[in-house]
Amino acid sequence: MSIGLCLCKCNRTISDVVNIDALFDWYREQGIDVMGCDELCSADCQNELLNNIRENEWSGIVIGACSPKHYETTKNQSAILQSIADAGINPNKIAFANLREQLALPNSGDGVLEKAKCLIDVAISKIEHSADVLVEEIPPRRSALIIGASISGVFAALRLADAGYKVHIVDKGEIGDFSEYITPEELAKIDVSLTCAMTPSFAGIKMHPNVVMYPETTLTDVYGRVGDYTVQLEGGEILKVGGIIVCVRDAELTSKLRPILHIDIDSEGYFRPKNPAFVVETRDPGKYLAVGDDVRSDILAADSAVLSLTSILDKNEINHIIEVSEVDEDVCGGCGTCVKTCMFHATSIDLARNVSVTDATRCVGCGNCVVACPTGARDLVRYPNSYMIDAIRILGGFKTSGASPKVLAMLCDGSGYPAADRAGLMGLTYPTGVLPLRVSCAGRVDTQFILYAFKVGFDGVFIGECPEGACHNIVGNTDLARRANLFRAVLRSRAIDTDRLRIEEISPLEGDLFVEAINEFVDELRGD
Amino acid sequence: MNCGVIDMGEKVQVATTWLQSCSGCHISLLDLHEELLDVLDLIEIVYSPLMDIKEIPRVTVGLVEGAVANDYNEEVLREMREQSDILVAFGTCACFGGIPGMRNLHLLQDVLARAYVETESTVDGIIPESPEIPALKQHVHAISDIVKVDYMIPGCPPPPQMIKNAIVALVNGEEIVLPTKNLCNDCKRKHDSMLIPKRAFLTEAVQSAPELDKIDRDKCFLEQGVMCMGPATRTGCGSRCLDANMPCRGCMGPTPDALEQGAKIVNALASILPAGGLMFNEDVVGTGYRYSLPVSIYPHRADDLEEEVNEEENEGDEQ
Repeated sequence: MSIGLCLCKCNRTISDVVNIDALFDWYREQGIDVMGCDELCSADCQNELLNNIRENEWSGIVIGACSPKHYETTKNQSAILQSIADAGINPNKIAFANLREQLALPNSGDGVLEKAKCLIDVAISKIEHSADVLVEEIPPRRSALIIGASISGVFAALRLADAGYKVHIVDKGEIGDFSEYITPEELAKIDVSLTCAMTPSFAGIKMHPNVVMYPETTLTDVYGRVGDYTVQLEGGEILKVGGIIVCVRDAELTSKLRPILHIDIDSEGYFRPKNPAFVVETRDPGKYLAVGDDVRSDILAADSAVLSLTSILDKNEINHIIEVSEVDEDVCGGCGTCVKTCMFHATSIDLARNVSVTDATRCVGCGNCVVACPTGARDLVRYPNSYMIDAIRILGGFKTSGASPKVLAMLCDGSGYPAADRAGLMGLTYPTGVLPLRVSCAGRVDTQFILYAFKVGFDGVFIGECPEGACHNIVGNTDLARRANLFRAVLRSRAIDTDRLRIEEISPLEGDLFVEAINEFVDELRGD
Repeated sequence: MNCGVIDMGEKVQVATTWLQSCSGCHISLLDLHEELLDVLDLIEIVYSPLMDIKEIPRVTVGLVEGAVANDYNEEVLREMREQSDILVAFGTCACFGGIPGMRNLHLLQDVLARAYVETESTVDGIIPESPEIPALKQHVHAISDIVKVDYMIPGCPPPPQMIKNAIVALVNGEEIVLPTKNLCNDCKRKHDSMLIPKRAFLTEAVQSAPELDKIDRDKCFLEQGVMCMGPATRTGCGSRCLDANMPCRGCMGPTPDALEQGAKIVNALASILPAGGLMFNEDVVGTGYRYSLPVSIYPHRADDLEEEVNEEENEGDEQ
């Protein structure tokens, strides 16, 4: 297998801090193809990268640049991931070394070059330990579910129905009763033209042949992927839709919908977009938010959500990366621990063969079952056990200077990792001896990893996770807390101070809190 | 493996020994009763603790019971390795350190002080020190820490039939193949709520087995709120404890895909049984690592400086 390494200078943001030339030489000597570029965001550099992939027939690529979050959460950069896959690299063989947000921005001075090597080595290890993921092509369903017959819900439904989509609109109350969604004061402020827009629109959906209404109805189950969701309504009726638009802004209702819809919430308990700049997108590309601050922005949000959704559902085919948890059937004894652990009802026991199986349409790839599996039979395609252990070993080899403690920072995909990114972008600093390792979820943090981290010489283990009630995967942080509570006895038995394990709740935008917490932890470890 | 060296024409020469152990694995071999005669048709035991022979002769198969806890254990083990074409870790202490391995939770000086000075019945105790007495090692080790091990037969003790099957396999030039699944695979008890895909604790309360007036013989222990190590334990024992209506204690050690047993049972049960530490009878470590502490990821105390182990011959265990 030949792996390529692409080192981005990020227009000197990275190269002013990290000696890129030294990295270049180091990896060339290791027999790895290395290419450099000034700004991987630019079309020129991306073309060069794609040409290199094709010419050198790389089967894996390490991108040493800015945070992988940029590639995964912004429209303009996610395109390059698709282009890399089109050039012949399996999506699971694309790995990132976050040299900007988690190195060049927060760190400086001695050790930066060594840390860069550690981060790149971890990315290489990820490629070496990861199997190819399956990519499925499915034709999307040209239908949508609208949750909430609010102002935005009604406008979204009308737009979609007019565009030829089958639309199902569900509301817990009467459909057409805007009073739930708009206060009398706000209603009083609306001029007559808007009132004239709202009432006929409402009549419009009632009259529209493409719209089916479900008043006084609640959802009991939603699963599937963009283009193909299965929705179960109270009473058992099943709907099949290609996409979902959520049009409610009500904290109580949100808390009821969240375990069904699996959309992240903010600190106030409302659904939140995956990126503050793109207000209608969630982390699931088939689920959108359409809620504004007033009637005008409601209508704009509805239009934006509809446009985003139809731009996907109008395609002939959608690619699905199957990133589920896998089972070693030679080892699984069918105990059912994974069945009890999974929040998403994705695991079950095949009774005929007495082994655990995964429903790929329900699995979100969080890895909680992998940790829970008492035999080790389960493994995660995206973050395999062997990679996690190897990554901790590599990071454990980092030499800190003097008395500076060495900290393994396992950062969850939902909060800890983006918070660390945010800290870098905010210009905040912390010691180089803090070594980040991305994990899919706090529920993916195996107590075996913590024990192994202490074995390979870390002074402390820091876990940055979503705040209580806001876990990306609903229960990952709860399960980590339960495991850690029991596991501290194991640390004590080895005479390892339990204060050397720190679990911190951080919201994704709270870069300052991340830095505060990590610096405090480092100080404590140093004995200050 | 070295199986090709076995000449089918004559009886296979076997040596057995015990190190830090209780001799239970040897007793289990004897527990084959009449079937032992079938085994003795195939093998000749030329050296064992039951025979008055001083030097270990050259043998095809060496069975080593027990963990390595003192210098003499190590010496015998190295000699056994030297003289055996095929070396088998015989029983859980040899495979994983076993019960003696729990000594690693304490500093050596504390262990000696407790044993020789502080026990309630001791008057004017002294810690013995003599070149005649083998020195205790800093830590207890599984034998694979010290020498290369070709096969293992886990169990405390391994069931007689499992020992027989292993010996017959070696005599026939085959590998010893251990089952790879967990005990639940062979557990005949019904488990119902474990299979319902709904997040919920299995029971409202947890209890230690002796507290219960009645344990349903036909129902999963965990579903009755009784701690059972079965999920994190390799099967192959014949589920003797379960048949006696006692939960699994984990003596067969971890499954091959787990890095260790103790952390794995914590991961597994934390979210399916209530009451945290209670489910472990307030002893997470004793429950999870009872038989396998020396092969844990972190096999001793952090404040206990590791002794030098000669790594030359140590190429790890195959299984």
